[in-house]
Amino acid sequence: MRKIWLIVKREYITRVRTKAFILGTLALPLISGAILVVSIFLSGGTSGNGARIVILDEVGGLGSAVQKALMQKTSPAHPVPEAVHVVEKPSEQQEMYFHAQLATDEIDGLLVLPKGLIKGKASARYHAKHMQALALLGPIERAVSDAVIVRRLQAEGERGRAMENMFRLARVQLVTSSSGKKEDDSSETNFAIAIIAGMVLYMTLIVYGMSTMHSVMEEKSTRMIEILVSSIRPFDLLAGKILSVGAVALTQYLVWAVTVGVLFASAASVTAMVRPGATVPSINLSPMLLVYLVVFFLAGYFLYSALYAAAGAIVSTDEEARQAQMPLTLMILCSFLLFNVILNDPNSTLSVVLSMTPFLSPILMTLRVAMETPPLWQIVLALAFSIATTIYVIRISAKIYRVGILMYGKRPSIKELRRWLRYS
Amino acid sequence: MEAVNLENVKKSYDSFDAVRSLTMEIKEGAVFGLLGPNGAGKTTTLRMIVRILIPDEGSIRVLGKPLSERTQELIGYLPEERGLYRHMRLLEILRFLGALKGLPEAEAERRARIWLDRLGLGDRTNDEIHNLSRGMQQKIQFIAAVIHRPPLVILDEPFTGLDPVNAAVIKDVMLELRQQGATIILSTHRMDQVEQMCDSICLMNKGQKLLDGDLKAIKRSYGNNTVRMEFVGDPAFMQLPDTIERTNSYGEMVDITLRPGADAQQILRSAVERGVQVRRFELIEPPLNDIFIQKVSQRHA
Repeated sequence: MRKIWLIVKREYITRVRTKAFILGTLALPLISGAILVVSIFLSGGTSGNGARIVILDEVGGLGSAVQKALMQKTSPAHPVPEAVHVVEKPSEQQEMYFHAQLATDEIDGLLVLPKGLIKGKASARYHAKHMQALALLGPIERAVSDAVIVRRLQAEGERGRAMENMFRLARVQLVTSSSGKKEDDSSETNFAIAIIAGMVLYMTLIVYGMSTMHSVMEEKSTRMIEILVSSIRPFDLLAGKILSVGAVALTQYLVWAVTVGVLFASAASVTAMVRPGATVPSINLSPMLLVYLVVFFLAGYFLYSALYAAAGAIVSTDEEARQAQMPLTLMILCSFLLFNVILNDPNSTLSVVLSMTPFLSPILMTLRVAMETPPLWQIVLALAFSIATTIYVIRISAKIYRVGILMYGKRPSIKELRRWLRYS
Repeated sequence: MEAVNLENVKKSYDSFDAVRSLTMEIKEGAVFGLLGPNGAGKTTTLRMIVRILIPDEGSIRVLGKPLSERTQELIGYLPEERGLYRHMRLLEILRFLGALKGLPEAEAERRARIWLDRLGLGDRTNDEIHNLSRGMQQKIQFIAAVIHRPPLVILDEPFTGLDPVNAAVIKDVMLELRQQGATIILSTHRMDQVEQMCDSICLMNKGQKLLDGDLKAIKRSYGNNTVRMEFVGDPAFMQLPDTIERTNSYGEMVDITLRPGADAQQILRSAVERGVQVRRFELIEPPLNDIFIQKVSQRHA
């Protein structure tokens, strides 16, 4: 155990010290920070959320109805202005004043409801300068037309009131089919988190798998391996190596999680000050999802890094390394290509089967977990399959590794590999 | 007690027997030379002793104990294939390797500093390995092999790649270790070094032992059957097939192996008759080089 720890420590320190690690670790927070800044400005610009609207109601009594309709949030996609101010029967000075306000960006949109509107002799005018205010055109059109219809019906007296009831608008509320729960804001972020989680797993498995492989190859090519295995069992060396590379990956995740978390948290408050009403893309990671992410990452990581280590032990040159890593990279790529199956319908039989298949489950089950909540037994079963496969694969890899690390020169054939398995 | 005991040890790779049924004893406190041509199985044998390779058959004991992780810590090993992590600092790598051999890290670092000073690398403790010359790297590996004061030191070709000054430094350290009671196993092609340093030897070829034992006893068993001559003139005087079995010329000097029972005076007479000027004429024990060549080529024949 002490020796495994020594290996872990050495590998961890030399790895974390490299420029590649430092740059890679800093790059993600920097890039996501940049994306965040851009998205704050864009989101303020396109969603319509946060716009300040003034209604000049020349008809009288109509503006408040429009205001009420506009401020109602009926679906997550529905933009809502930050403030709607109604001016009844505006004077000419008031009109000029608000047009000036619009010109100087004091307000974002100006809706004029002219006198002949109810009778259909004039149409409402909406003045807007920004994308942000333009996004409200749809809701404004609907609100104005609703209010005008209600007013016309009211003019019909008793008969109109009856009609009004008949015309009462039926709203459609969005409800998800899988959970049966009312959809809220997190439905979109869940989807995004699922894809991000899948991508992150996919990339880390490949990047850190290759890193393990190159570490094995370095020990082989520098012949350091001879000194090492004269002091430590090859299995312990392999275990130490895989643990340390895993620890490095988790370190990187941790740095990313903390910096990105801080970034988004501070972004929320900064935005609130700088540009009130603009929304910040929020990340609500549930703690359970985080736990599953880490668990499935570890399962996938141990499985694939053991395979990459064995591949590294078989080869001696970079050219051979490229060939040997191909099947592994393809296997991981397979998971990536199957993203769509899961995203389309995470509960279809195909999705369930794929997400429990060893070699695929680390990425695909994470994807399902991030999208919705599969039954616990499926998660546990996937994990059990994955762990069993991992133990088996590590055993075989360790045998190949044990013989391979001391073989220089020609890459062994499959037949020779099978003989290696019988050696130790 | 023997430092190392091999009994009927066998090791074969796919279609090739690297070591076949090797039995060998290495006495404690001696410098032991493992000799043989390329591919004789020397490195495979050493790798089995340090437990890098597991023998197919037979048993190996180190200082009386069967091989285990414990015996690995009793051994210091300088492999023939040399190399170190390129991006580690001198002190770091010695601390790491010392700790792997069971030293506490602080103690490993303390000893590493002493050794680095002694071998003239005291001012480079924080340099990374890849900034060192090959000879310097080899010295680092030598330190790694002896830093935990192992009772058994195994050095596979320790002098190749070293300049004469550094080779002399390493040789002195080795003799010092022996004085402190350590057993040293040396694998080499350089017969002059073996003659200078080794107490006993084992000569291997094609995975088998050709001869082993005390170096002086081996040489004595061949008797004074060699004439070492220096002369000026026509070397044709040496065409005496009844007397001379082989000659081995070094330019000015020649070693002549006599046929069993032949009279060395015949050669001197023949030289005088032909007017060759003899500067040196000496009856000696055969050089190890001759024994080596003779033994190995006998088997080849």
